Amino acid sequence: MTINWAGLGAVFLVALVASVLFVGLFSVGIASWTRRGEAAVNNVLAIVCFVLCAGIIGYGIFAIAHK
Amino acid sequence: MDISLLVIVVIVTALAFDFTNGFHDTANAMATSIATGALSPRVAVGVSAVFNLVGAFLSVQVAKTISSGIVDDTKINAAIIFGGLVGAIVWNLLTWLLGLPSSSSHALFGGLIGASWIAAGSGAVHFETVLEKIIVPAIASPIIAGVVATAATFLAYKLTAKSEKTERAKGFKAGQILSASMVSLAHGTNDAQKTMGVITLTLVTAGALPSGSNPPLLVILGAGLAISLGTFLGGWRIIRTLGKGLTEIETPQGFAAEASATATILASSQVGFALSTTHVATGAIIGSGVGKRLSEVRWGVAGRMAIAWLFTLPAAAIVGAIAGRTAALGTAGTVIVALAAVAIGVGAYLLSRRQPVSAGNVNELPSTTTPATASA
Repeated sequence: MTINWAGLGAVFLVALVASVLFVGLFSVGIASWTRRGEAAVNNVLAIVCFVLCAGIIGYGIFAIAHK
Repeated sequence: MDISLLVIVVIVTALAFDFTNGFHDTANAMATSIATGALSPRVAVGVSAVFNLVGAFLSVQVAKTISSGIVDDTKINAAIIFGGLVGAIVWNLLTWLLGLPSSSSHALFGGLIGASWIAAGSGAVHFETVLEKIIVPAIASPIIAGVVATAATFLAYKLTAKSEKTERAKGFKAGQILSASMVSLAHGTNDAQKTMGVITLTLVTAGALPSGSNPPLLVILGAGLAISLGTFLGGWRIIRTLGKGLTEIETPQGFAAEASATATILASSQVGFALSTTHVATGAIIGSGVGKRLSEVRWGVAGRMAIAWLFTLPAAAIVGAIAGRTAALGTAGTVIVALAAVAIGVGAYLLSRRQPVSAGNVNELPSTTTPATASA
């Protein structure tokens, strides 16, 4: 029997990077959205983060449909 | 025996399995969103049902390789498929009654393995493939999802540490609607397809479709609707166990758990692992409990789930073997198995009425069900 270690490792790495990136971006977005002070800068940063998150979701749907 | 009767019975049974698959697995996508109040229970199961249906139409890759080389496709017949489905349904109903999330995929594979083994000998089951494609991913996937969710949860709290608490909760609540929908979508593409595959395989064996066919539109629609209807009814017992039983979940944890579960499911379907949404979702929820400092994971509940996972495949295999063997006796055998399956379904429903869990009490702590599950 052969265990597909490379496959398992790839799943782990891809899942880790994707999740950390997605959750990290969303968290930064929320942090800057709720931060007091320079509203314009904070809001732009937050919106950039949320747009990037939407991009990751879009890629996820693309990946489902084209596997 | 009349082939067309058996084929019809198999198709109906496949749709019934798909239905149990739906309400068994609603929890995977929606348990944390319901627990945190990101979505009201009724809205949550509605959203999940819609995304399951959409997911069913997105891809047919999984449906093409239903048995994934686990059993010898050339030795399979309608009676074996029927037996396997009955084994899977019975196991799904029993674990639902106990509020235990267990893998519907494992139940289906177990049922097929048992039925094939008894009908066509151990040579019809590729045990090495079973180990490689089912057992190894079953152990690895919850651990992977758990570690990923731990990291994601830790990060979510770290990065938003300075934010005002209620503002933060509101933000992640909105995020959870998205992340839960993604889990449902991934679930629809994975699980609805298994039923499509079973029905298509049955139609091919009966000569109604040429070998190697894609599932016809009507089959895709039927399977998608069956799983969505099951999802919409909501497996409240399992939702409560996952959402409230394992750990107290806040919105950042729910968001991180759902995002990690989706990423793990998508990554592994790209690599070709037939993993279970249930194992991944459970691992991610436990991970989100570990990732938040000072939050408590009820390892006893987690352990009871792990035991249910261990038994899923062999238990479904035994029921599948008995059902398949009986169905192979002819029309009378098929009718007996079908009646027995219906009786078990009705029995499970009646037993569930004694301690009902519904949209109304899904978020109350599962202390009332503890005696029932502990005695199992």
